[in-house]
Amino acid sequence: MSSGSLRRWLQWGLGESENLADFPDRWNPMFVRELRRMLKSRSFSITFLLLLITCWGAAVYLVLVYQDSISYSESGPMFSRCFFTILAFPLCFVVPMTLFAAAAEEHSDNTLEVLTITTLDTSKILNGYFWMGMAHAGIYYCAVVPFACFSYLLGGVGLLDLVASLAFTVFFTAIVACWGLMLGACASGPIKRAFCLFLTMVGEVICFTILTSVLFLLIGTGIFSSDSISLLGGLVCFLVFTAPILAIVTGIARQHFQLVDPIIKPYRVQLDDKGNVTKFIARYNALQVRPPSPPGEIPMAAPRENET
Amino acid sequence: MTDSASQSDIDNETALPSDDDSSSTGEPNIVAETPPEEIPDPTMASVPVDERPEPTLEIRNLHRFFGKLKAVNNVSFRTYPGQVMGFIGPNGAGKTTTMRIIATLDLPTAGDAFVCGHSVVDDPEKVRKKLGFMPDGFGKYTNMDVVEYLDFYARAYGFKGEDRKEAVERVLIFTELRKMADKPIKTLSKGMSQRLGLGRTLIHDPEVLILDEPAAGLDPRARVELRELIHLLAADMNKTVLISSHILTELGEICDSAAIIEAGTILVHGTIEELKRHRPKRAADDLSGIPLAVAVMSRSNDLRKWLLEQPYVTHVAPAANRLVFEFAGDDAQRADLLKRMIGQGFAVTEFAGKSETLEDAFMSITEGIVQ
Repeated sequence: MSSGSLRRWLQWGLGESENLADFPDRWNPMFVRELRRMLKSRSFSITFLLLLITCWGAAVYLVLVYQDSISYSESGPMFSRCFFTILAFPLCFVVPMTLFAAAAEEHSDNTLEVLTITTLDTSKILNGYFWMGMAHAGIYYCAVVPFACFSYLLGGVGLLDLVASLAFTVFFTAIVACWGLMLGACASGPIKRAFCLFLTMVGEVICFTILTSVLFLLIGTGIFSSDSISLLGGLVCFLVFTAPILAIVTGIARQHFQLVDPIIKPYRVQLDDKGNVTKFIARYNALQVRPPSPPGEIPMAAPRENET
Repeated sequence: MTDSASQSDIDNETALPSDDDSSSTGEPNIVAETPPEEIPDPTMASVPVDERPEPTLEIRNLHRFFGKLKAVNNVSFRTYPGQVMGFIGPNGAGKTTTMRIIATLDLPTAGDAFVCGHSVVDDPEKVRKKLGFMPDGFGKYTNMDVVEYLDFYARAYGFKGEDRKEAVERVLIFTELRKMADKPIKTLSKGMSQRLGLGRTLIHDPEVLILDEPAAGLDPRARVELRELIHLLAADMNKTVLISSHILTELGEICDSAAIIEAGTILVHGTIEELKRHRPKRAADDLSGIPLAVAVMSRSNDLRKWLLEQPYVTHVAPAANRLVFEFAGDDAQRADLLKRMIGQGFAVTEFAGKSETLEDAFMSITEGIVQ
């Protein structure tokens, strides 16, 4: 493919974008901001380094253990399980916790107000965070993929099994990341924060347990085995159970990131000749869940019948 | 009200209630909401109503109640392009609540606010494009440089490509943060942080700026620099600035007009000179008069005792190296007082009318009510 046709193809893919330099402009601003912050954070550097060192260490250790039989014993599954378990740690614990902390900081650091008065809406803010979490996970995948390839070369594990394992880790990462993010967005006070943190950690442990079990089963038996049917059934059950919970938590999180309820409308006022307020009049099309209750001189206005 | 009248209200939500409404309530001569031409407008008092420009910020009968607490109680005012309006009041007076409502961060209980003609209730998205809000304390993100911070907000306001770079550069230059562009924002001093906050509010070039206590905690140099920036914004860039502060001397120098608010109600609204001249209405038996200050080389205690015995003199109090008092007599009686003072052997070095400051006006107008 010539560079010209590649460019035209990319332009088609990018819609009205004039050139490739405009591509990052289409990214969610929250995603860009959080990605920059994440890449600079100490926790990310340490986790990435630890992940690499652990993978290297595990690879060297297993090679030394299997050195006599490594070429004919199809030791790929053992290596794959080991690498995927190591990968599951940052995916199930570090990524959701990072998202939890980032979302909760919007409340505790008093940055949410300033963020809310931009043109970003709540969905964009939460989406940006979520995709940052997935990008975060993607960098950890990059660290482990060479080791997964190495285990494939050792034999005993199919390419499809590895791809399915990766797909499962992506799926579980998305769920646990979403869980951490939404609970972080709900953590608007110290007590809520502690409670949400506890729930996040419980979710992480559950996800880690299920993910590692699935990976052990999948890598051991292969994707086309009879156990895979049970695995698929289990996965559907898991989804049926978690999807409503995630939906409810997402709704609560959106409420916490939205400072003003767009449905509620203020009252109108009626004045006398001297400019004093005599009545509050309900708007025809609005919910007034917060009726004014001034003491003393200002009488409460009864909502007009045909306006409520 | 008939169905057709109801439909008419639906078509025009902000229309005044029809005559049917008034008659149904049984209260004659009721009007709904202050007509725009009657909203307090001290800086345009001398301009005929039909020749006034469109106000960029207009508050109409704003109320915000928290249960029984009236945080904002029927506040109305207008400001115009190029004007700086001070919003003065003790803590808990309702300044921040009003500002938050204007910034679309809170909903009023009743009333409305308009930014460049857009209602904060009905068109908050349009308001946000026209308005920059700098809250009292704003959080700083960790692991973020100055330029990244501004770049993020430029993106958040929809700037793309070269426009975004230009917007960031424009703000860096205006706030003189160019040299600090690559510094982590956590390491900035309070003054620099305030500049960054101001830069953030300016990134989308808003027409109206709401600054809540921007000078709080700043050293004198940073305060002067911030004051100059605000002056530039109004005078050169024709922005409308609503600023709240407890440092009244600062406000007196940069504001065209000011409103003094206490317990959710605007007590006085006028130009700075009007406010300085403002004296609360006195009771008929109140003998206090114009404030005077006198300085002597020595015997100030004797002078104080002597002044208290003189006619027309009240409220004698020491202030710095002087004695200040109120004198209810006329000019001839004032001259006579000075003559007698010198005759008593007091070495008078200064005898003058005490210049009125915004602080004096604030103290005389407010009553220290805490809700």
